[in-house]
Amino acid sequence: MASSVVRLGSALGGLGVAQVRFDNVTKTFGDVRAIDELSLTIEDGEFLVLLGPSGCGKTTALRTVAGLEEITEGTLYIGDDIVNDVAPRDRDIAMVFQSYALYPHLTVRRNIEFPLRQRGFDKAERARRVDEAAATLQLTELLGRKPGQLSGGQRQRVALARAIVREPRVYLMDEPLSNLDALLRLQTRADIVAMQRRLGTTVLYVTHDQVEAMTMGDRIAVLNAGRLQQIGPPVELYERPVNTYVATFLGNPGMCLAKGSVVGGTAMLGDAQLGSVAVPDGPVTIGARPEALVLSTAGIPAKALFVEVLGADVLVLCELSSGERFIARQPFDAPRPKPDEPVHLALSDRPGALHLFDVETGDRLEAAR
Amino acid sequence: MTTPAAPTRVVADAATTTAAQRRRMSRRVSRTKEAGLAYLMLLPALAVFGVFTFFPFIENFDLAAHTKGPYPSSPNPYVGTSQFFDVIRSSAFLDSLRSTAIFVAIAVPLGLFLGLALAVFANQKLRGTAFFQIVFSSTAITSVAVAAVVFETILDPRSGLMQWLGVHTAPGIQLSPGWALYAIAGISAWQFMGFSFIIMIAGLQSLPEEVIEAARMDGAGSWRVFWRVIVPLMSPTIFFGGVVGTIVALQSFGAIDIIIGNTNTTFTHTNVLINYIYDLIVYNRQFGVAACVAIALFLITLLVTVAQFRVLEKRVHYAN
Repeated sequence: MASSVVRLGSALGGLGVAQVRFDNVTKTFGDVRAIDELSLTIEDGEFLVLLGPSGCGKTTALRTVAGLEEITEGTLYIGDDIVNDVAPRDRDIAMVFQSYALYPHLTVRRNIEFPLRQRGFDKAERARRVDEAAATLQLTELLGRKPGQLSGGQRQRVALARAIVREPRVYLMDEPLSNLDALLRLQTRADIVAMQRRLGTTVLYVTHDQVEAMTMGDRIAVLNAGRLQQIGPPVELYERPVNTYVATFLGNPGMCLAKGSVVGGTAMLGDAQLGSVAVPDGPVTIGARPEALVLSTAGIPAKALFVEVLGADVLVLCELSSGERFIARQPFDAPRPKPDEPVHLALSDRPGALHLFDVETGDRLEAAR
Repeated sequence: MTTPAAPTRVVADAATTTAAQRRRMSRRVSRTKEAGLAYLMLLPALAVFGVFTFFPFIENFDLAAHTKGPYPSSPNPYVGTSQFFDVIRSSAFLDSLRSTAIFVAIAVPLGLFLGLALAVFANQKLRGTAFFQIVFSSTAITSVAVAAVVFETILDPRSGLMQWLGVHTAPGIQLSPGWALYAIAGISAWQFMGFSFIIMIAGLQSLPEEVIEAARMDGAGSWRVFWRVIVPLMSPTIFFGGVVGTIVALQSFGAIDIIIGNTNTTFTHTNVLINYIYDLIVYNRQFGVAACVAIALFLITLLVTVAQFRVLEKRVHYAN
């Protein structure tokens, strides 16, 4: 599909792109602050993923850009224009909905050309653009069908075609892959990224799936309770989460945390020494990702609770004597402990394996390794 | 070497067959008991329907085949189907049919449209729409007698809204030969509007909101969203309302009876088929003729409903 998208992009004569900027945007529903003083810039041609759990405000943020929700406070820019009071149809944006939102009474062709008809394109131009988009997304054979006669993946492609066909400045995508099966999701994920890379359009993509976020976004913005937690490239968020929320949300499984301390410049978990750190002495929250932990003959004493075989590797859920739990990711062919078998966990030597967080605020403390 | 096993297998097969037969018999008995219980539970409803619906329905055909006189002791000669064909060719019947057609053609679409328009308005996410939802649906639960009295007052040429608007008619729009039928159809549309509103708002609230939002983002204004998206998506509800409304309107009686009252022979403009039947029975005591008109009305209702399903349903878009 990707090479066809290039053809479409050039055929459309290059798509207009724009920066999107939230400036202290707040949206309330009654007493609930769905978005709380959000300041965030999506650069020209950037693929930014809004990531967070259900109810964190990410879809509301997307809908404010779409113009489907009014902003309570703050300013929203698309390009240089303040769009707080601009109607959705005048914002020059396209949106792909989670449910695809196709018009069930119209054929695929009429669905794709709907935005062109509303904007007064002549018949020949409409036909040309629809045919191009249909060819790009392998929908040519389906142009005469209605959405009810299509599979989930085909509907998703129709929704994409409808968005592409009118060359908007910004694309908004609200969990467009969540209704697809795992295999199709993987394939479509790559297709969307390829399309965005080659067209160079600005995309604001909402998801609660951190794998999607990690693999698709140029940058990820993590939201929690309407507040921006961290924004940055996926690897940065993964390796240097700014707080325990981002640390535990990002990753599959997320980072494991336990109460520890720093004594004389050494991070301690119980009696186990985890290494030197440049953090003042005192209690800390210690974090380690599953791949940073290895089962060893010495280290943090624990008890294996459960072994999960994933195929390529194995997750071992371990319980420390304090009752806190860590997960260690082991190679598939490594020895697997039995349930309740005593084990030792050791921290890997690679830089960034150990994370320290403030016990009170959960904010990141700089660690030495 | 295999022969010794054979008798054992035969015995086993026989035992299996007997067990299977027993199971089948048991299932049959169980099914019969279940069916018996079902008929027993249906019996009260069947008895009520039989006495008050099925029996009169059949009896009506017998009545239509006789020219029963005005008194119980009057002769009741059998005339077969000739009376029916005479009746449906008569000018009185055709006039009544024409009035009925005009009445239905105004009351049903107008009631549907008003219900849909008000539902779209009341479905807005605005403060106070719950109040309007109650007000708009109230006409469905307003007694026809109350509605008739209200509109009689409104249309009264001496003290009503018409006088306030400066429209002076005597003896009043509802009794004016040129306007009476339209006035009555309007009143019926007003009453049907409540039912229409209730089903329309239920339909609107079940529409996928994202589809409407997608249309707004695709560049459609409110008017186009309404005609290009909402109306097609609402077509199953509109179709349902149209079919039910037509059946109800074909049987409309109360408003005309209360507002127009005892029609005299010179005022037949609002004499829709049900009123015609009523007049034939109550004032003219022509039971056989009335039965023929009732059969004609039944056939017309059936034909119109079938035609609606055959013709209009093709334009209905079911989501799945």
